[in-house]
Amino acid sequence: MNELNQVVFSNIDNKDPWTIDSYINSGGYEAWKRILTNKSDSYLPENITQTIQDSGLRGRGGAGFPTGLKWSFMPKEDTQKYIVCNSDESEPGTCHDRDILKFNPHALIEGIAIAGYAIGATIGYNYVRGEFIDECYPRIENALNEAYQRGFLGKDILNSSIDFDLFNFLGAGAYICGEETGLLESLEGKQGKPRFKPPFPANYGLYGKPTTVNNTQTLASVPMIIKNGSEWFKSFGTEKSPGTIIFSVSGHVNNPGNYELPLGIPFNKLIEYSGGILNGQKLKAVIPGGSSTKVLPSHVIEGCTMDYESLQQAGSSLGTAAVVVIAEGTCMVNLLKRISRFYFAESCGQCTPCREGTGWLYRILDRITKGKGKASDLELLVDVANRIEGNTICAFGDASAWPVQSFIEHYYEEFEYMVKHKGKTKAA
Amino acid sequence: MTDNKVKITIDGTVYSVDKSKMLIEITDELGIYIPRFCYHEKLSIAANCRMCLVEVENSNNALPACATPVSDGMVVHTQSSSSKTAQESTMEFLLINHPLDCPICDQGGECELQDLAYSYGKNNSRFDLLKQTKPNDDLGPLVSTDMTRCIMCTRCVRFGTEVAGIQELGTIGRGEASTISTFVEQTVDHELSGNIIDLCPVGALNNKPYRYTDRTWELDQIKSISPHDCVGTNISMHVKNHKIKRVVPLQNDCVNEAWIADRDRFGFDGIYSPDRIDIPLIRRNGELVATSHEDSIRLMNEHIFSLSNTHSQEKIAALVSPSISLNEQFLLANYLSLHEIKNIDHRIHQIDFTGDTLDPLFPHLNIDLNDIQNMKTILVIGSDLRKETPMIAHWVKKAADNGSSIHFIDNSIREYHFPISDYIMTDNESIADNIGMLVKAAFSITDSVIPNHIEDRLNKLPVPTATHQQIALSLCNNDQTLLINGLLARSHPNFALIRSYINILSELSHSRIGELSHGANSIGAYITGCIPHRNQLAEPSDQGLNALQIASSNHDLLILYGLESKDCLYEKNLIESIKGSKTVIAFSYFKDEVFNKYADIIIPINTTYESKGSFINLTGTLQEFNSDMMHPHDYLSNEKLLSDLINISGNKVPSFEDFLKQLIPFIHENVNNPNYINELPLESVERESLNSLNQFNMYNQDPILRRSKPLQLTKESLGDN
Repeated sequence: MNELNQVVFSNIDNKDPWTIDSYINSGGYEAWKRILTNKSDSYLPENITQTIQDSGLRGRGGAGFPTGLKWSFMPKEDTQKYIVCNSDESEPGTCHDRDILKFNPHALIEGIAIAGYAIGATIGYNYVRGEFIDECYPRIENALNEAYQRGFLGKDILNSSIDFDLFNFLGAGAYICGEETGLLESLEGKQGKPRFKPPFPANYGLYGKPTTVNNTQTLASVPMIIKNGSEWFKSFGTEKSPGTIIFSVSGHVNNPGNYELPLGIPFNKLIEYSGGILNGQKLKAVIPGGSSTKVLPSHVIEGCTMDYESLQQAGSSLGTAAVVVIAEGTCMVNLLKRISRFYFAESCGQCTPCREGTGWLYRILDRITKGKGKASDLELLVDVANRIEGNTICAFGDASAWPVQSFIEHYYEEFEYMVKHKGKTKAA
Repeated sequence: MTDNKVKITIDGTVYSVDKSKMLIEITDELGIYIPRFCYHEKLSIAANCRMCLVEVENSNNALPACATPVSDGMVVHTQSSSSKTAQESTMEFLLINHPLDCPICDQGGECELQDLAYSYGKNNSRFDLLKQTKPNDDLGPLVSTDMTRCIMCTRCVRFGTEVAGIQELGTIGRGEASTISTFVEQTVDHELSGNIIDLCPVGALNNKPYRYTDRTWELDQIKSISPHDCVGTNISMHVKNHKIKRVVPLQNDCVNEAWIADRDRFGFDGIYSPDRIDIPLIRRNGELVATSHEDSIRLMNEHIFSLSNTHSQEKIAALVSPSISLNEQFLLANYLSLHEIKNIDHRIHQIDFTGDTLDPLFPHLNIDLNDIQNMKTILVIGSDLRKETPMIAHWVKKAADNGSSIHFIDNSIREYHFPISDYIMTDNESIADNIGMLVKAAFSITDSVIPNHIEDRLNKLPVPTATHQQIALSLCNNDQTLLINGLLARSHPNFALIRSYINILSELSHSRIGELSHGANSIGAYITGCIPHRNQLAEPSDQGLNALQIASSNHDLLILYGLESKDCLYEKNLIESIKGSKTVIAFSYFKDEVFNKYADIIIPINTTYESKGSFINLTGTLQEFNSDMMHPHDYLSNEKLLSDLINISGNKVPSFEDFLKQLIPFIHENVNNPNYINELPLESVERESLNSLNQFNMYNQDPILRRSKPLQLTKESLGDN
């Protein structure tokens, strides 16, 4: 059995898969139509939520929170509720949502509509990363128009007396707006600064109303699960990490790109799909889930399967499944500096540890690479990172701390070498 | 255990606490200190400084006490090593970019960051890189900026959005580059903006006029009351060598919460004006020459005697500022009444006196200030509320924020930073008619019979519009309603009619009537008898001349106490009267130019900033001020001066303490229990409004404000709003 592209990208090889006709020809909008027309109990909102819960689908945005469970947190009271799709894909290394928006926008629209129905939201927003203005936004906007034209969205959809309106919203280019409450603030027209929790969006979300925020890939997986059932979805992947996930493989591989594969495939198999390590070099390390997850040296990652549990056990996390492959010869100090610069530049500045700490981390790394590092700097870096971790309003602080902690843990001698040798890298 | 209580354990002790509260509120109540910067009990929670992180069992991370609701079974360790580590981490991060030059910072000595750095900071810094600097905005003459010191707690921003209602400051930029700014270059002009000085926990926002003048630990603090409006705002004066250096708020949740208006903070500067006088002056051969206090009062007494001996008391008149202390009012009124002088008034902002017989015993708010926020409907009549009484506007805003409907009838559209349900903008002449139309609407809504004595008048009025109907409905259908009778209405040529309509409307709609009054102590003036139609404690009296009549005629002896012609609504008339009266005696703080030309005796007096005394505020609360003030050795109090005057005339000085014993029950009986008479006044004479030469603004309302340099530099004073 071919294990590639079974769920979200199942129609990806069709001609113009982003058009509504192509999508419908491949069975698209069937799940949504069934919900709208079939009055059997299995399509009641709570049963849709149950199906998603049974399928074991977990949030693909990085945290891996069980999607059905998140939906079940929505209060039952009769008030305006919102479903918000987080298409602000910004985690360095991650590019699967971009391809969904570009090649399979209707799966996303259908998924948002179904999710909205399940949680009782009549309005949905799709918050699209600002940098996608040219490449993805026209596609998703066009798809939205098509869906309205075919009557899949709007009021009293297909005479079902179900209402659902969806709007695309283009962000202005800030990593922090990928944090769900930062996103909500931005969507409300405010500065993208995360809110402290509790209250969580399910109780106090967009405009203070109950809101569910899900990632693009998560929502785009929903129609196929509803159409084919939770058991079908669970036939992919492992028992604890069922289903498929899109790996965005980048770095030192011959064929970087997006590969939708069942969770739990061995790491080495993923590298095979990606054409092997670039130019036959030796693997040095892997950042398995986007730049914020902890780096794993080759001997650790090579024994891992690519699922939530295995990577957690190895001391990192599946994150967004953005696998950054690092070959021998790469300077880990410079790499960390580049990552730290990102977090320094993207901190929203709202809370103290992150605002002050990310710049401090970056500047120490910067001076190390410029040959001005001090012997005490390595200990200082780890200590500053430890003091950011867990002390901030949102998880951004952790995201800026984890790379520093893990890089220095695994490659201490490279850092030490560079400090001692005035900026000369050990890796070369 | 009741439903709204939960059990939590803090540092090993179990407490039963309110479950709706945040952890920091509970620890504050229990006296357990958790450090904080961004948290402020009067502002929303931001949780951004991360200083109040504490260890809570079963949580992976330390949690901010300000944003963590208490829950049953919660176990908190405020002193554990993980709490300490989290707090010390935050302190280190705050200090890496904060200048460590406390000795040259104006906040030094009262800086929250400096204080907490002693407990949570280290002796040396691990940060060996260049510190950041940030650009400064010019926020105007009141607030100085030193944004490099800012720790981004956003208290000032939240104050703007939540309390003032207008976001004059905001955060711009992100990450390290984020800063507090007006964004578009402008000054902070809101009447409460000065409070951001106190809110700022560090030296980023400071008191501009006070800046770099003194060190805070050298200042004595004196509890006082602001004399610039009828609210009785509680202040603390910071004094060195008998000189006031600055004024800050004293928290009083029944009056001014934690806030004071800018004029309460910066107004005192006026008392140090160069034209302040400290030696009595008498006119000899057309020139004012210095004399002694004894001579000045002896001379005054001679004038009084010569007139009273010939039974010409009606040729003597006195105008008194509505902002002097109760003690002064008491002595002055007693002195004049000992000489059977009836022509005394403090109502120098009132033109229409036809309703004097219908006057309440004393005009007051009829409701506690902190109860305003519970009103369901508030109608403000004839008032530039934010400028007349900034603090009442603040309480009304709180009511609006709580969802009550606020309505206005006014002669001009004014800017309010809260939702307004209806705003009837009318020309000045039609204010009374519009309230009459409300009355008409209220009669039909309540299905009441219109009494004969009102019917004719109401019949002449136009049919109420939909807006009138709406306001009347809102007043009649809600049970917590308040009518605020503003200062503009009090100065209106048809004040008596306006007030009668308000009385009728109040009766129909069961609304309370809140009357604002001019100056700091109009209620005191009413009760001590500084009015021509009543004696002390509202005893009826033969009608003397009212303020307008006094200012519009010439007298053998005209006495002015604590006021200048500019304070008077009919300034021109008063100047003519000063020119035309035979003898003019001015008890004054300043050598005003009119007095300089025409007064015969100028007797210097102390302002209330420099005296001990008391005011009765608009809720009828007697508030003492400066009771722990120390005076310089050559200090002559106004009480001593007035007592000397009484003594020298051969009388015994009446006891103020005895008067207070009668006053307290008198207020108690009559406050919030108005005996409003819903009569219409005698047909009031058509009178053109007598405009003051001065355009009304917040900062020209009394002699002291007019001389406050910082306030005179504001947009409000310069008039380029």
